[in-house]
Amino acid sequence: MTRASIAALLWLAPALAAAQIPGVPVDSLTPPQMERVEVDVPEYDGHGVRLWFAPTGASRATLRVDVLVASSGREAADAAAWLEQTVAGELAPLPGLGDDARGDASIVAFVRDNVFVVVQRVGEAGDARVSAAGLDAAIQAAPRRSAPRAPPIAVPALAEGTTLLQLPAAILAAHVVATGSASARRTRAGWVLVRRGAAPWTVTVVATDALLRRSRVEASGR
Amino acid sequence: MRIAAALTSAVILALGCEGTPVVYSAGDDFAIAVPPSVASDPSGAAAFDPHLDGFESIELRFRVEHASGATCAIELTQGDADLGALDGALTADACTASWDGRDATGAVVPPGVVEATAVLTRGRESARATTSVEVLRLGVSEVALTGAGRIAVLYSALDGLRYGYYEVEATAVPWRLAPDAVEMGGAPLELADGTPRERPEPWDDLTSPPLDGASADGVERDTFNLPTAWIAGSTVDVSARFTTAYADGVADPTLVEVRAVAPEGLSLLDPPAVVDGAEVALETTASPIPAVGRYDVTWAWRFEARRDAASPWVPVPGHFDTTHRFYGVVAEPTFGYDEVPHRAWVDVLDRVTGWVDGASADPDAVASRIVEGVYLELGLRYDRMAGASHYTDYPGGWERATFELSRFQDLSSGTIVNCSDAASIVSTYANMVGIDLSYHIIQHQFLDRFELNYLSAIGFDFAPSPFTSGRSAFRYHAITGPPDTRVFDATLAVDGDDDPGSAPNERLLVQGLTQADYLYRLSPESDRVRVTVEEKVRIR
Repeated sequence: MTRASIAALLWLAPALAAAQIPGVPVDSLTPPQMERVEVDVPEYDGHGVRLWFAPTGASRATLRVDVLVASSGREAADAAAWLEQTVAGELAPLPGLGDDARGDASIVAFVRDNVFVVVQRVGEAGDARVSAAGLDAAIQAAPRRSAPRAPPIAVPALAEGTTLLQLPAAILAAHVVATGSASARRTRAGWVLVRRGAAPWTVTVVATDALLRRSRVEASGR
Repeated sequence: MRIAAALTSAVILALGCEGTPVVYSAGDDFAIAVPPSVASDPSGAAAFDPHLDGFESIELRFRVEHASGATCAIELTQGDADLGALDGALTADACTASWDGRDATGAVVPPGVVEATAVLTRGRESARATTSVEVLRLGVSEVALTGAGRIAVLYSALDGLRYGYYEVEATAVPWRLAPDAVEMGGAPLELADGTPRERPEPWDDLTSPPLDGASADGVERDTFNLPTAWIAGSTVDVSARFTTAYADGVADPTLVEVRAVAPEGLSLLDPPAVVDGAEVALETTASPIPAVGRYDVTWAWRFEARRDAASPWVPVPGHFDTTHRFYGVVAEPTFGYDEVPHRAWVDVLDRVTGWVDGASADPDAVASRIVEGVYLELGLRYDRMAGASHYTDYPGGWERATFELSRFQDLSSGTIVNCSDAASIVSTYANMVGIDLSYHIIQHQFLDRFELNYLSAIGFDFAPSPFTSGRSAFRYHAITGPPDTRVFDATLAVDGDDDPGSAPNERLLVQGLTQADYLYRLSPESDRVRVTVEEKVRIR
């Protein structure tokens, strides 16, 4: 058994007993005296939705929060165990937070049921543990009944030039990656796909809804 | 020839050079002179553009003979318009006057043919001659730069939006001067009211190209001057398009023939006659990008004109300057990923080339300068609390490091970093300028941490522990290096003396140390650590 597997089991033990959380309302996560300034959806698998918070009225974020609504408590625990492996120092246990939590004033990682959260301050001010406690409370208060998902994202066939990607209204944020003869660009009108040449193309759209449930769509053409 | 005579109230009739009767009078002791004559001088200015850079005036020149005691004036007309007269300077063989290309009201004369008439007067008009000078508009409306050494660049935040990637392909025209898409009238060189159009300086925004709401993709397509990136030592093929258009039409030469003169640093391959839309191919005589650096090069486009094939080419006074920004890199980017945004980002090029500043194109020297710049000059500080990443993720395993480059470039996650971040920065910067660095992961072979020697973590002096907790061990450490396994690391400096395990400590930046030497200086457990993973960082 590898170190990572052992670590995952340690994270997993309390989570296994917990109920499933279908999603976390994003608006419930905004800490007091702060406002959400950005939502990012990293395109890679196994990662949550990344939220950025700034003090009310400020534009520069001082707090970063990753929320992974995993399909199971085990998946959340695996993510937590891996996060711990990628910290060069050590994350001390934080009793009383989540099902299991580690960290310090600069960074906190915790699992609550099937939700894995990383709270990291930007800079050296503030205490991530305080923010994490509020987030944990919000997650515990999240509705346990599943809400309908947004309709699937349709990627159109790409012609030469630019094509605006239409996203359903229920999509909170998305990130788009294109390869081959296509590339993706974020614009004020939304994500735009740019095609140059006749070579094959692929487009990957990773999106989240307001419950921080990720979805992924891939399309290709030539 | 002078003829002396004693005449009283003599009246001498003569013919001017163009057949105009001229009357000379003299007193009792007057020395009788041959009538003065005046003629145009083919070596004088044939054409000019009063809007060219450095233009002050042209010299109107006429040949004269027997003009002793006379005065000279030059009258100017353009069509039916009287432009005024100039006082000429008379010498034994010439009547000359400098003209600034303006009429009597001070207005710059429009393109067209100007008649210049020299009038010699000795008591009364003695002789006159007329020549023509052509007023032109001369300039460059487009400069294309091509060559095998040019690489694509990328703006990371079109219109200030993160992930607003905008690629400038290696074949894209970087310099253009043209009326705006919604502009009424006007020409490349002039606004509709005749005001000279301002030429674009090299675009200084490092994250977004210039914008134009009237273009299809919101990017300025009319007048722009974008930087280009080149492998150091490259020669550049230049294609320039000339324009003679002005607000009210096209001022192609009619009286004269005009040709271009290669700017310094360029050689003309096949010079065509300069007319509106004519293109000329040139090549650089020496690489304008000799090393890794940022080079602003100004080319002064000059012109010559002649009246006919039998006349000499006469320089057109002034020049039309265009300035171009070249970034020199070591080689093509070495990401290993084809998709956007894995290109050379303009803001990164600007930073790295500024650091190297033309000192070298050697990959080791440039990589070393990158390490120095990241370690010393960006204000970064090691995460002494946890040693956590702030800009790098490893989704699903060590092999898939993903670097939030756009956030790092504006430090939106702050100035605190860990080893993964430093490795991402160094390797990404290096990859963008063509240096083949990958990242590696150092771990203990058996345990979940390995001990450390005294280190000088980025932003801090030597200490027994890089952490506030006093823990003197890393769970892992990320480094970068070329395929030969040498190490470049900006996370920390090691003790460079003979005894890295104890004080005193001599700061040694990790700029190409052998892996064995590096590990020896990094950890007292160097024989129990392993170095794994050889991958390129993905960026977003």
